[in-house]
Amino acid sequence: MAASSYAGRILYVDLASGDVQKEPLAPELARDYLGGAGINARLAYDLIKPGLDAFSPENVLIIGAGPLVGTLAPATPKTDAATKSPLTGTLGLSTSGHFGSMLKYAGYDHLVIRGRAPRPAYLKIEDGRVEVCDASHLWGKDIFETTDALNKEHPGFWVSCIGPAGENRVRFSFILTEKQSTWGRGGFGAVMGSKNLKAIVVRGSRGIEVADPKRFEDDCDAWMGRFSGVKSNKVWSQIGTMIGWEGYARLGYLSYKNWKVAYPLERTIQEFGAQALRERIKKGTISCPSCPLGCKAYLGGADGPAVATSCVLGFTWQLGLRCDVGSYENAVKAFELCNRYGVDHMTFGNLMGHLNDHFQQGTITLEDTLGYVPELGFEATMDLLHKVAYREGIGDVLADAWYGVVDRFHKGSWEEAVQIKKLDPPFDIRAVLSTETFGQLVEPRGGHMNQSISINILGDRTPEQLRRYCGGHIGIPDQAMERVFAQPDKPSVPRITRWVQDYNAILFSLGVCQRAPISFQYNTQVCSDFYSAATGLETSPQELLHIGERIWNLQKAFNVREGFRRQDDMAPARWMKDPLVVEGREVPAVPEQAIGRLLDEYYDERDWDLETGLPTREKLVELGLGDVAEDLKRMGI
Amino acid sequence: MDAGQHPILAYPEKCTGCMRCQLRCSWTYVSAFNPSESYIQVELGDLNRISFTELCNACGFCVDECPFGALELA
Repeated sequence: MAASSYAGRILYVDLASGDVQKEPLAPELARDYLGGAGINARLAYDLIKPGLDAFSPENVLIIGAGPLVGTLAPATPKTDAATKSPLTGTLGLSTSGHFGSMLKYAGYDHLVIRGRAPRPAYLKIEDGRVEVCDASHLWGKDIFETTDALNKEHPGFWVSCIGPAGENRVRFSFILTEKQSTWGRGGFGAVMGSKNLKAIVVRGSRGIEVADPKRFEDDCDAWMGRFSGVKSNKVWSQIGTMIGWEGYARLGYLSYKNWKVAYPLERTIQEFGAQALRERIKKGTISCPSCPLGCKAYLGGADGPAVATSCVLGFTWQLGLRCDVGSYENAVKAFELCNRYGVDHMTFGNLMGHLNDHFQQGTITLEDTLGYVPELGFEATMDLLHKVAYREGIGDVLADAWYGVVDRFHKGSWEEAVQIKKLDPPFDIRAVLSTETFGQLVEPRGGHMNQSISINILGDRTPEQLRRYCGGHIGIPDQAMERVFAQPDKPSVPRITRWVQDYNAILFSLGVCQRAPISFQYNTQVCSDFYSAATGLETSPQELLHIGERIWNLQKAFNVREGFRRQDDMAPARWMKDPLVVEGREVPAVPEQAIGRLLDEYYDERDWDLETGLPTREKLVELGLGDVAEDLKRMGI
Repeated sequence: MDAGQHPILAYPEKCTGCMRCQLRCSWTYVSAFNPSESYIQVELGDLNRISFTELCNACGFCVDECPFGALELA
C-alpha cells in the first residue's frame, strides 16, 4: 500500500471497450519515482511501445499528480501529462495547474487512458464511479462552450477538454482545464482527439492525509512565513510573468520576423508592457489550487472578453509582437480564440512568422500557399487561427506544424525551421546563455525549457550568486561544484543545467510549481522535509537528486528508443548562423562548434557518451534502470 | 448561509480560487485535505462564489489562511 498523501491507486481506462481497472499504486513505484512526472515517465516507458504512431489507439495518455498535490503544501497543484507527442515524436511532457488535486480527491494518483472510443466520448470520474459517456452533443463545440456545458451538466466537477483543433488532430493543439490550465505544448489535444475523447470531468470527495500532521503543518506555516516576507511576490501577483517583460525585451528575447530582429523596444514597453497590462487588460488574479502567489490572470479589453491565462508574457509576445496584431486588446482577442480552439499560440506564432518571412523573401509562393496571401496583423491572425483549427486550405499544411511546412515549402529540408526536435523553442540562445536557453536543446519533450528553469534567464547573476544557488539551494555535491566552477568567473552553464534539471524533475514529481518565487522557497532540503512529513518515508536532498537523475535518464531513454541521438540536440541553424538584431545592434550567432562544446560539457556532467549523447549502460544500471539498459542492448543501441 | 449574513465577510473579487481556505478548514476539522468536507466552499467561475455551510463556527482559520485578503472577520 502506498504511503500517506498518495491517493494510492492508478486508474486505467480503455476507451474502446469501456473497461476500467483500478490498480494499487505499488510502493516501490512511489519510492523509486516519487509521483507525478516521475511515475508518469515509468508508465510511459512501459506502456508506449517504440515506433508507435502518436495517433494510433495504442498511444497512451497518462496524467499524474504527485504526493504533495491536493494538500496545503504551498503551490503544489502541478499535474503532469505524458504521451507520445504527435508534434515531436518524442516523449510528450506537459505540466498543468489544475485537475490533479481533484483526481487525488477522487482517489487516484494517476490516470492512464488507452484505446480509441468508437464514437465521441467523455470520461466521467466521481470517486469510485468511472464511466465513458456519450459526447456526441459536445463534439464540434469549442473549449469554452464544452466546459460551460459540462459544468452545467455536472455541477462541482472540474472539466478538462479539447476544442476543434484537438478534434482535427492539429499537431500543436492542447487540453484546457477549467478554461485556465493547459497541457499545452506538444499536441496533447490532438492525442485526445485521435481517441475521440472530448473531455474528462472529475470530482472527488475523499480526503488526503499525511503521515506526520504536526511536522507537515509546521513546514507549511514556516514556508508561508518565509514567502510572505518577499516583497517581489506582490509584483508577481499583480503582473505575473510580465515581471520579466522589459528585461527580456532589452536582451532581444522578444524577437519577431522569424527570429531575425527584436520587436521595437519602445513599442514593446509602451503598448504591451506591464503598465498597459495593469491599466487596460488585467481584470482579475487567479491562483492554481494551494498557491499563494497568484501569477495567473483574467484578461479583457474595454469591450473584449474575459479569458484566463497561466502565462501573461507568453501570449503577449507571440500574438502581440510575433503576429503583430496591433494592440494589447487585439492580442487578448486572438488569445481567446486560441483558447477556444485549443491552439498553442507559441507554435502558431512561429509558424505564422515563418510563413510571412519566406513569402516576403520569395521562397514561398502563392502556389505553395494554395493562393493564401501571408501577412501579419490582427485580421490575418484571426483568419489563420480559424484555418489551422479546421484544417482549411493552408491551415491544413500548418496544422501539421514543421512537418507540413518543411514538406510543402522546403522540399524536405529542415534548415529553415527554427525548432529543436520539431518543437519551436521560446528562448533565443543568441541573447543569453542560461540553463533555460541551453536546456531547450536537451529537454526530452523538444524545444521547451520548463524543466531547465533556474535563476539566470536574464544572464545577470554573479558567479557568487550562482555558487550559493548551486550549493545551497540545489545541493550540488562538492565534486560537481568543482567541475561547475572550474573557471570561477565563468561557471559552466551546461553542467549547472544538468543539476537544475534533476531538481526540477523532483519538483514536477512532487507536484511543486517551478515558477521562480515558488521554487526559490522549495530547495532540495525543503522538498525532502515536506516529502518525509507527508508520506512518512524519510529521504534526503541527495536521495531526491538521485531520483531526479533517474527520472531524467528514463525520459531520455524513451527518446533513445525512438531514435533520437546527439544530432537531435543541436540548435536551430538560424541561431548558429545568423545574428539577431536588437535595436540596431547585432547579437552574434552561436556557432555549431560552440554548441557542440556546450553539449560535450552537459553529456560529461551526466556521465553520458560524448559521441552519441546517450546514457551509458553503467549509468543506467547505477540508477536502477538495468531493465532499460537491457532493452537498449536488445535494440542494438 | 449566504456570506452576507455570516460573521466572516467574503470579497469574491479578491478571491483567486487558491482553495487554501478550504484546505485549512478540512485539515482543522477532519484532519485531512478534503474540500468537499470544508465548511467554507469556493465555487470556481469568472467570479468565484464563496459560501459557508451551517457547520461553520466562524473560527477564522480560513481568514488567517487566505493570502489574498478575500476573507475578513466581521
